[in-house]
Amino acid sequence: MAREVAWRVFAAEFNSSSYEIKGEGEKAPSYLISPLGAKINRVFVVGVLTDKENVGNGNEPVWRARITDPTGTFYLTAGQYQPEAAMALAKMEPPCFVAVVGKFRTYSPEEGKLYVSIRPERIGRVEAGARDGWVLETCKATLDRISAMEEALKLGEPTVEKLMQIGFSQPLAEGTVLSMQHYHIDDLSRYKGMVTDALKFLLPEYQTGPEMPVEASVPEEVEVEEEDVDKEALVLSLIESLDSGKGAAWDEVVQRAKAQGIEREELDSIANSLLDKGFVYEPVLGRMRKI
Amino acid sequence: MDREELAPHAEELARVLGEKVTKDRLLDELERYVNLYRVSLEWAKRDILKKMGGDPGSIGNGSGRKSVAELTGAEQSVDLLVKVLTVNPKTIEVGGARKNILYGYVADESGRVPYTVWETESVQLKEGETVVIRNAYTKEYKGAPQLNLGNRASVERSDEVLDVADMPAGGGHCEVKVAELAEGMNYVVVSGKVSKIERKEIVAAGERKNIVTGVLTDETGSAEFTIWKEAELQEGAEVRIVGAYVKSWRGIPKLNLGDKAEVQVLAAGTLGDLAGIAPKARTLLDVELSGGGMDVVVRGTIVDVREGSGLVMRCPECRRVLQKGTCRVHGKVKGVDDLRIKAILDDGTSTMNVVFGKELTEALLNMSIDEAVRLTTEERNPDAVKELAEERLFARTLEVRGMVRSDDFGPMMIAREARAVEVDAREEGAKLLTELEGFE
Repeated sequence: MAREVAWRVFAAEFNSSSYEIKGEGEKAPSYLISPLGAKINRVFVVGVLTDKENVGNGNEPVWRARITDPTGTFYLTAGQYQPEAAMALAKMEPPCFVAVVGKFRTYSPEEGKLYVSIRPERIGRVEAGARDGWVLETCKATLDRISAMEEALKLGEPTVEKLMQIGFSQPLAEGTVLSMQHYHIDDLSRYKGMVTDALKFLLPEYQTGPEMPVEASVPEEVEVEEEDVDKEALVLSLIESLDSGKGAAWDEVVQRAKAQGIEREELDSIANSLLDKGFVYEPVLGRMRKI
Repeated sequence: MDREELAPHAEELARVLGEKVTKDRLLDELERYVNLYRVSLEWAKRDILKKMGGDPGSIGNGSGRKSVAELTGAEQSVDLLVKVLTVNPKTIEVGGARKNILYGYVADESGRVPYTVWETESVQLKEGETVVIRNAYTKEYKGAPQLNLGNRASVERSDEVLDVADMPAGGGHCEVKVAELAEGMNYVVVSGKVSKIERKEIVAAGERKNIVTGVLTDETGSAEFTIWKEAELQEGAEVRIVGAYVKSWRGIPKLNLGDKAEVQVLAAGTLGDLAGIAPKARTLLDVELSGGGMDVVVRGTIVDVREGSGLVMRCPECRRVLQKGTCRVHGKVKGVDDLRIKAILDDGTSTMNVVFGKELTEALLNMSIDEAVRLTTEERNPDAVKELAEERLFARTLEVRGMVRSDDFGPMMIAREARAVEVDAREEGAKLLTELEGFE
């Protein structure tokens, strides 16, 4: 049987995937269909290992790790069935640049919610140049998927055949049709924005560090977003601090957030955003836990 | 437009509408729309059909009878009188379900075009038949039109005799590049430089026969060819092969020139300088679909280093890899050290196994075989070199060149050249960003 290809997807696209096709039978592969129609069984990722934690024990380590790219964070878990990756992770000191090949896995705490992570098969340290190369390659791959989606939207009722006739490869045509059935995306600007942001990430003239003057033309949304991120961080730390093992009780989070000046309505939207980004999940109804 | 010019269009309308309206009446209508009201012919036909209770969808853009040479790749509904040159069945997977399609070439006196039948239950084609195809549509692919027979298409046998016997010589735009050759292709037109020409005598069906073999090279790759008859051919000549067919052996497409095929010798220099240039890099999916080739260049990332990589011992007699100092054929022997890497290359479109021999392994690991032996002995670890290869090669992007064959596990390359790909992500990123923002 042919080996599954390793898709190049950004964390933001990977993490917003909520459509899993489970393989039937012993050896049939499962696929995760991304919003842009990547038909993922395996991924290839290069990013920064920002954090690792042994959530198992000394004899049977289970490593959890976070890898960031310009768009978000990939979550990794490597246990006894991924001995090579687990061993490699054990030796790494974050932060460092790493490359990962692995399969997707999903976790569904409740109906309608799906959290995705990577079960690494192989992980290794790389140079910064490899990360930049990956970002560029992933931008191109994402643009290919966006153009397949655009053509599919134009077709109205896209089929694999029609997309293949336009010139898209069979795997991409299949993924695109599956994605259209599930996500009903009609606006691709968000994903185009993701690609342009990722490209800007590569270019020093767009990188605003402390040594660079802040341009006057910085759009206001950016500031608002930063504030949002701060509040998200605050709520995330609240959830973490109120968690005594079973998750933080939602009522307590509401009270403490209010004391910090975050009203219920705003808290709901922050919580939703954290859930969407895969930072927290609900182990049981009414409780929130940091992933 | 005068009535004579409009007549065939009136006939077409009459065919769609059946017996409901006379041809003369339709011709009057058409004349009125086109000449008096100056409505375009296409819209006139649609409007008349609609008015008369027919389906305007049954004649689309570029509707009506066309010759193959007139196809633009944008016809939504087109009729053709053609001879079916080839019919190849193929099973594709569509959304998890298997579906049978047919593909091949059809031709008329003006040219030849590839076709696909998407509904094999309603449309059957036979090689050699002359047929009228109705309501097909076309798409442009790589600059050339492709004919598609979808669920609206119908096919009728015709007794007309089409002179397409010498068609391949005329089928100008149906030329392919060497890299595009694939199992089952017929009436191929391909140009390149010939080398390694050999003349052989074979015995076929009890008869002695002279054949000529060689290699054809263009800027996309190389393929072996066999001319099944005597032929004058000079080493290094630039030729255009017309009417060959393709058979693959272990995934590598080979050109066969039968009785109908011809070799046209081109003026030297027609194809530019082909000496010393490497074929253009192809995607791994493209290589997988074609099955392989004698000379293939691909780029990809090493995503795994497989078992059997590193320092191995070979039998001095037969070069087989020893297992615990024992050869499968020659038993216990004193082995000879060898280095190799078996890696999996992945470019995001597909994957391929690549085998690097001793010299390439030494270059990739920046380590001689003697150093490899020393490392293995010092670390007392038979896998020391494999582990080093994993560390140094995992996630590296390489451009590799070599011969690709296919088996049940997909394509496999025996690499001849390998080099690290250095991408200037900033420069390319800036270019891409300018393109993107330019569109907004």
